[in-house]
Amino acid sequence: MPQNGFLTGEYLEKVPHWHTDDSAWKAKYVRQMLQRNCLRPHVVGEVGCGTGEVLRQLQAKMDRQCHFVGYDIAPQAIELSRTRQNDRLECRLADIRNDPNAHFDLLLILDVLEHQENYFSFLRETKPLAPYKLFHTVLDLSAQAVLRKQNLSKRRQMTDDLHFFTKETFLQSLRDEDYEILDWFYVPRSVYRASGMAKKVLQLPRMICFGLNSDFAVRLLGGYSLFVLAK
Amino acid sequence: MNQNVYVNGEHLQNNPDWHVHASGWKAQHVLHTLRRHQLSPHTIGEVGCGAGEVLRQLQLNMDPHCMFSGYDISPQAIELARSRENQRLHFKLADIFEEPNAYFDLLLILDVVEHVEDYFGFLRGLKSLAREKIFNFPLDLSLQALLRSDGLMMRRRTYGHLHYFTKDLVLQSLAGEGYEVVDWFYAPFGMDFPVGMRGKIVRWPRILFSAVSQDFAARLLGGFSLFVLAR
Repeated sequence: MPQNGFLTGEYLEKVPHWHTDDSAWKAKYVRQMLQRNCLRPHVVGEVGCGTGEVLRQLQAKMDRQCHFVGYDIAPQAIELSRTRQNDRLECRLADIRNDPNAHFDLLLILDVLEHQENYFSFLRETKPLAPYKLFHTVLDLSAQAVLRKQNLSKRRQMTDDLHFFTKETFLQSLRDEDYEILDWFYVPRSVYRASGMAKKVLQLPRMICFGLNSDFAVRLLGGYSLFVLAK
Repeated sequence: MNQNVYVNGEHLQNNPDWHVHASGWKAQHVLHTLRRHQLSPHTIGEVGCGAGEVLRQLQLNMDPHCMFSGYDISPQAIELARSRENQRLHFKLADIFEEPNAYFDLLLILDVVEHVEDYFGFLRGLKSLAREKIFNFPLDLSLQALLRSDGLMMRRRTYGHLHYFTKDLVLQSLAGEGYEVVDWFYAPFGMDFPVGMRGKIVRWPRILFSAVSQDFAARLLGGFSLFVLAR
């Protein structure tokens, strides 16, 4: 069943905005990663670009000459991306692996791996498409997530995530497929998503714990995601 | 890459007995499942049969006319299995999906799914090979495994586990691929085979917590696997 939800429109029903509300947030950290590593790509590709909002956000803040090309297999996502397209920003309804001309300075793979039935072969097939790859994944595996009954299976039902990662399993998967990890950092996703004072206060223990030992806090309480730059 | 460790001898190096020490234990749970459901299969296949000891143990305890066929892609495993072969117990170095005549009354898939890159495709492929299937999944996801930085990575390095499950994820994955789950139960391998000093220490809380709730004990302390009878 899994991939079909993206083709049949079922995913759009579950996630009506196609995560567009998170796009500016993701784009901010993509730029942060590029700045940290002094990268100035001229052609940026994105696998699973959804509505194209991440690329639009990047275009607004990056070199004007930069070209952006997004790919998605979901017709509904590409339809939503139409209004964002322009001379230098294009979103294609296609599987990037079937495009013989797909080659970029930087390839964005944001929240995509966890939806792939075989994410290992996906990593192998996307590796030659760009010298630099920038990944984002939500670190759904934490002690508190596992302790709560049906937590992961509910998440799978809601978001069609087929795989769940810790930082260690994610980085190891990349290494096993011969990626060279150049840089990575955690991003406090739950803190960003908490709306209202009460919910923000509830994030305090998470933030304090993270300040003391980030790896342990992420494994214990979850609520973080991971950006990785790899070659 | 990871499939190769079963072919190039690396898995044998990491697991010199190819898990034979647990074969009697697994066979007992298979027999228990068959008795619970009054199943008397005449032909039994096993995917990833390893050294073939589970099938040998079953043969000793089942109808002498029953035919057993084990398949493994590992030459080292099949080499170990050769000494167990007899008139009604055969092993084949082959991918079961490439066998044109592979069909059984019962198919065993014991500690295999977590090793397969594309386990969704694997589950779909197995479905038509037998009426009844018995699965065994190690439930690697627990609070204590997540709290240790090496908890999941040790399982990946030593045993080659690429995927990690809770009971709910197992049942959801099977249902998602169209299986009808007939029965399932926890099997406490951590209590039956405590490994090292830590295993011996954790054994007691495992016994204590599982007396109250196996479900909670599995999520809290790990050390369980799940047997599933499915159609």
